[in-house]
Amino acid sequence: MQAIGRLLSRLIDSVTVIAGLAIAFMMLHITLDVVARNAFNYPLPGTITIVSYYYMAIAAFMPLAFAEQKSAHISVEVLTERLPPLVQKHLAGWMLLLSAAVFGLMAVRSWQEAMGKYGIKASVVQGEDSLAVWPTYFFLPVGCLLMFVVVLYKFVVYLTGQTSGLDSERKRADSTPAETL
Amino acid sequence: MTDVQVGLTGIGLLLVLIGLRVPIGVSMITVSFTGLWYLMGWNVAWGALGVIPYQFSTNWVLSSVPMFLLLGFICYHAQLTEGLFRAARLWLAGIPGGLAIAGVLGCAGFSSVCGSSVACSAAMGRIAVPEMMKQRYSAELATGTVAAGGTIGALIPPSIIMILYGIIAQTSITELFLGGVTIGLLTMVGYIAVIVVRVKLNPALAPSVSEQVATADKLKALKEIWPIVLVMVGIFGGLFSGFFTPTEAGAIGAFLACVVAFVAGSLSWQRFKHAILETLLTTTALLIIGIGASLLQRFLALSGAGEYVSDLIIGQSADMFWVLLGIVLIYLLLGLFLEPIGCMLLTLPIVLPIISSADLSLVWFGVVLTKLLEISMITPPVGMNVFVIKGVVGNLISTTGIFKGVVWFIVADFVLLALMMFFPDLVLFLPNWGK
Amino acid sequence: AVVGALLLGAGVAEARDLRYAMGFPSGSDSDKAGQAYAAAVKDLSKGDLKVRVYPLSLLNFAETSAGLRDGMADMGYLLAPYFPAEYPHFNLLAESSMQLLTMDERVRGREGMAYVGALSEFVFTKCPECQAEFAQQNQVFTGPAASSPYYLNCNKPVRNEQELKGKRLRVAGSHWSRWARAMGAQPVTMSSNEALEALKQGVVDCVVVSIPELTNLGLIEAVSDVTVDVPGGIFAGTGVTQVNSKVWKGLSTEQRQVLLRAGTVMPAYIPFVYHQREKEILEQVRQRGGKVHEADPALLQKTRDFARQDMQTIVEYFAKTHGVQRGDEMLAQFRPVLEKWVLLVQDVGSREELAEVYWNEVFSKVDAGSYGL
Ligand code: NA
Ligand code: NA
Repeated sequence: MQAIGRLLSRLIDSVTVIAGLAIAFMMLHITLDVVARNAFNYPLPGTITIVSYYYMAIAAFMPLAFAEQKSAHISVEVLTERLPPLVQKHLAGWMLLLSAAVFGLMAVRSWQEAMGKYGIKASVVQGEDSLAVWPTYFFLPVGCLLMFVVVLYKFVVYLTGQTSGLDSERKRADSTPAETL
Repeated sequence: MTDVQVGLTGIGLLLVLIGLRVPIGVSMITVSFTGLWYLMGWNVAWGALGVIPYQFSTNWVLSSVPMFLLLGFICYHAQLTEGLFRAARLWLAGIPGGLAIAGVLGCAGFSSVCGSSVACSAAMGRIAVPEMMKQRYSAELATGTVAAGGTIGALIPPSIIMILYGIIAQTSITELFLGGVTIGLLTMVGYIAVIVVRVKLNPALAPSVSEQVATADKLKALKEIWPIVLVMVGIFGGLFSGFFTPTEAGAIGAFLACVVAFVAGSLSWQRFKHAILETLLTTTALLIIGIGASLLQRFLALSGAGEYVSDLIIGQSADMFWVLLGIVLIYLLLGLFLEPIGCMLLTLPIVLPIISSADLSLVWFGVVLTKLLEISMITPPVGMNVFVIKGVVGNLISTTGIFKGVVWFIVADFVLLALMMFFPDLVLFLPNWGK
Repeated sequence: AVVGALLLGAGVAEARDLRYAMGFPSGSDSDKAGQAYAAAVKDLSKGDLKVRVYPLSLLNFAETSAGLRDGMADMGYLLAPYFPAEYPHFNLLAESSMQLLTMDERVRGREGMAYVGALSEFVFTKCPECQAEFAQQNQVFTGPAASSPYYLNCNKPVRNEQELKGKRLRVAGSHWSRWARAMGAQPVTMSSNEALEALKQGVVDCVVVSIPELTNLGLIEAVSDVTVDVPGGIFAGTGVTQVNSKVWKGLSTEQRQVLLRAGTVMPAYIPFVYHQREKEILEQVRQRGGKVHEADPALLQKTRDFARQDMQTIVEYFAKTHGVQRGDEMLAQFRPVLEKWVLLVQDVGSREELAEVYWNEVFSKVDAGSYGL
């Protein structure tokens, strides 16, 4: 069991590296575009398309499982925290099935959509040219599938009561899910 | 069941799921998907699940969300923010409650590079609370100050809440930002007034600091804030002189922060990595809620429930004042329990039509809404800023204690809120200035 | 109101409610056109068919194609240029709109009306590939729409080639992009909700868009100089009332006939109102202290030469990128149709008259018993 968890964590780590690169590239790409536009009056062609389709599709969906692993998805505890700990535990366990259903369906659906877009080689107009966007559709099924697997694994861990092996440690003690808004 | 009843049932079910601690995004997707299925058939629900998530996320203006988050995280992890508090502290050393005032000023300064109030609270909490405790300030005052001060983070631009609002309401984000400047600064002034009055009434809250600060030290402290000032000036200067658009400002700011921090020697690879990882966690958590809200909007539109509820609110009274008061009360009530961005995305499909049909300014309402949501960050039982401060200070004080410290600041917020309602120009004069 | 509609709906057994999604906000000209269309459908069908317009509340433009395909809406306002891979043939016809510059003076002030007539006739009768594209996306075409011409809307005078050189122009469309480059300017792509701020702050020097959009997008407050005539060309890639195929097939012949008859309302409404607005808004620009310039004759001539040459570029580009086989032939066939339509719309004085011309010349000849089935 723990071995599976560790393997999953390893998998999440590699997907997270890709997502992290997307964030870093987004920053660099937009900055370069602004500099090139102002200094040389030559905006980099395709910046808006690449940022909004490629980097954003990666940043939105690829870290889903990473956030689940670190319990960073936002929920409201105010009612459940009044319940006895045991009830809380079972409730949280069974509610994982809902997340599994949602992300399982999304994985299947977005895979269909991605294959459809691949079939017609979907693109968008960018300046004088058109830029292929069909590859970006594949980030959704990948991110959703990994999320589905992690949630399902957490459910199995809950059912069997074994140790998870998932790396759920946050780097900082005070990095709460809401360290954000 | 009529379509409207299906819609209303959906809203009820949604609240139940959120109450059962199902993640907000998952709750919204579940309800919208099953609702569309029941109402319009499998094909429509299945179709929506294919179209909306991709189209919502792949949006150019939305790309400013991760970039502004990254800017804030870089500034924090590279410790660009610490100098702000230190400088304010030295300059205010003689004044009663000076450290707390310095905390508020530090929050306001950090706000101009940080888009969210929790991050702002957390950053200042780590820096300012220990200092105040060293000078034997009351723990309630110390923690309350930074919990409340953090709310300035989403009012002074950049602001994630305002960006999301601008996208959904199709209003100018620049104008929202300009409206936020005034309200953010007034919030700051209000909080400082609260501190001054409280310390006047009860000097024991903040024992006066005996240390004599040399002018040379004060000037030296000013020099230490150059990195953050440079980032600030770069963002706002470039924005208003036409070098880049508000959407691009986040990326430019993050890059600038990296360079400045690197030159200042405070950005290690490890810190950069932390900033990126936190950006990822927050981005994906926010966007999945956005996707849920986007789906929910279709469900509410197709069932007619959204229209039904807004008709119900408007229909009760012809007088716009009461309608607005109702909206404010609803947000304060929801704000007691809900996480602010989820709360906003959940309600806008119903509230925006009311605002536009009443011919109210969407910019004004956007700023009022941001203020309302920020108040909800410090009201019990769910007050995100308070929880974060609790996480920072550990066993120093109970959560209830922090909430007690915050009460006084909420009074100041209510005064400001009333001013915003009665004098809309307070919000709008900056955005309208250029026109 | 909704409950009322439901109760009424329950009384008439065969009545059919159609959900019509458009990406424009409520209160916009297109929303008004949509309401006029809905009223026409209701009248013509005697209440048997009802269209309910969802302005920006059901699908935005990026979602419309797939949303319509999957039945989230029964009808939709499709902007085909958003989807170059899905609708290449229709887009080729739309993108060649700069050929309006190479026609005689009679087309001036009527560009949109003539183009809509020609597009309707061509797509309904002479473009099986267009029909196949729509069918592939599970849609039936029941009419196009178009804007008035695209001009230079700037924050400084940009009247001739000298002044154009090096200027940053916000353009949406590859033909305008190529034109900008050919004139020595720099095309910039950005979303329309950023255009105002970009123009105000000088991120761009000009926005290339039709004059009515100056008020629709609020650009007017940042525009000090408008140069008319260039680059010319119109936005024409609109399938204004696309119907989901399954819905279309589920209607009776009479109901389809109603949709075709009412289908002339928006194709007439939108270009007519755009041309009408153009004059009003140019006047507003002047009143606010802005200037309206005519393009320098040399620039206009160079633009015409560009437009002529660009037709070949378009054909080659669509062949290479999207496999459009008979682009040359299509444009050659389209030109005489367009010339005919310039004459047909010459004396039209109201949008009702225009709708009547569209009906008599094109829409009435479409067989509701077989079209799109
Ligand atoms: Na801020
Ligand atoms: Na609260």
